[in-house]
Amino acid sequence: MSSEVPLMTLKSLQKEFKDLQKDSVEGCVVWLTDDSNFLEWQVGLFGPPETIFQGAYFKAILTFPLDYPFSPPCIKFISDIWHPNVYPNGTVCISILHPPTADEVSGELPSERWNPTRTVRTVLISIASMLNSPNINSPANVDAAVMYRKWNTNNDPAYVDRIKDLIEKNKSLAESDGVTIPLTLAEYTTHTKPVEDTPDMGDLNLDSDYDYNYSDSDCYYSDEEEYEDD
Amino acid sequence: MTAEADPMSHDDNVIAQMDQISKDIANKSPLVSEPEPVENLKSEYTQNHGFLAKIEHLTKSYSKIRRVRGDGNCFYRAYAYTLFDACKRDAALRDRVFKKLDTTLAWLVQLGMPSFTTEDFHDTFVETLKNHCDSGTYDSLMETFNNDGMSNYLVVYVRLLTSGQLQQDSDEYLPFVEGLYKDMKEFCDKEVMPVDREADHLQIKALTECLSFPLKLVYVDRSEGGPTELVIPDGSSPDVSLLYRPGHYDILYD
Repeated sequence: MSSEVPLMTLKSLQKEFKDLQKDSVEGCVVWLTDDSNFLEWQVGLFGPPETIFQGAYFKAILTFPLDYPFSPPCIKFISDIWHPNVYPNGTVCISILHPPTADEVSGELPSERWNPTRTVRTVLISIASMLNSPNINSPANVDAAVMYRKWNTNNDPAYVDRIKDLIEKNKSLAESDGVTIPLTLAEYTTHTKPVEDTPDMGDLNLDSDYDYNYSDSDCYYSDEEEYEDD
Repeated sequence: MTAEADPMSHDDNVIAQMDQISKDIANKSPLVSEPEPVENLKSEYTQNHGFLAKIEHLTKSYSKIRRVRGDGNCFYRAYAYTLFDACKRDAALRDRVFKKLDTTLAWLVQLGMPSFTTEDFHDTFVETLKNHCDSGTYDSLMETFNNDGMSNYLVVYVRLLTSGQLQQDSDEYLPFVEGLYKDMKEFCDKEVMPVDREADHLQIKALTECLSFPLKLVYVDRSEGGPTELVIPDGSSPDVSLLYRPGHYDILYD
């Protein structure tokens, strides 16, 4: 599907991207998959130091709908992850990403639903805090939620072992993305994106609408996607 | 993986269905339509005598109706449209509205709205209204309100103003929703800011008070008798009228 990005959408996304480059969210880096397409961003998420996630790197894709910010973006992990609030196919289940109409979606606080004054920054802050503080009341991955609960209440090591495996497994991914994983709190809070991937914002022509190829097939409609079932 | 095993699939279906309904509505009607005779409403209620009688009454006081798309934003869009239109024609109103708008960004941020985005919505609203008052035409106004992105930006700002007023006057409004929401902020996050939440009496009262731009609501439903008219805020003398049919608002003209 080829579509035209509305000017207002493009302006919002450019402004937000620039702002996140200038002042990043703790534990997150973002860059564009393709410098000419602001509707798809890559997100590198680091594990907070001094937690079981220390040294971890996870990677996700943020996709924006053509009517952003009136509809929320989708975020989907493309690296391996094992988390109570992430579906086994990588789709993230947090309330802030739910469209306002999707009332059936489990017992989250309604006050955290998407609205147009929210930003990528608010989404990233939610994702970063979700990593080490899962909401096990509405799990997207029930096995991960059970494992987490057993660790949390009975010190059962299975959850931590699983995370350790993931940390090892995803190290090479960080390397190929040219990202250094922060290992101290100081590095974690000041980390920024891989510089060479920053596009030159000055070259974009804001006076005209903007053509590119966009497929929304990745968002939400996850039934038929394959993933490795453990 | 199978669809039955995927807990997302139910939500996906609901979302896909809602999307389809929205698209069907969008294809059928513009965001803000050209006015048409109030009599046209009769054809929608040929089987419904309660409604027909009221529309008959309505035609005695009002000649035209301007339909606004029923997408959950109709009250806010109708209100913003009539405000733009009225500001162009009424210099005193225009001065009052701009004076108020100038204070609203700092006020909303102080109330806890995110400044990064609120500023955008504020600036777009003020600039668009100013352009319309300075050099706008009927056609450019229709174009503005029928451009999805722009029209929705304007709607978001009046939703923000509504939220601001409700939270500022929380003591006055909270008793009406007590027990359902823990505070006015939760009410606003759930019932005012999401893009498809229709306005109810509280939101209407708050917004008309915020901008000191009152309106008359004309209720048409199945009940006996003529249409019920309600002036909001109480005791004001509005120049604009909106037609309310259960779940939907349109603009009425004398």
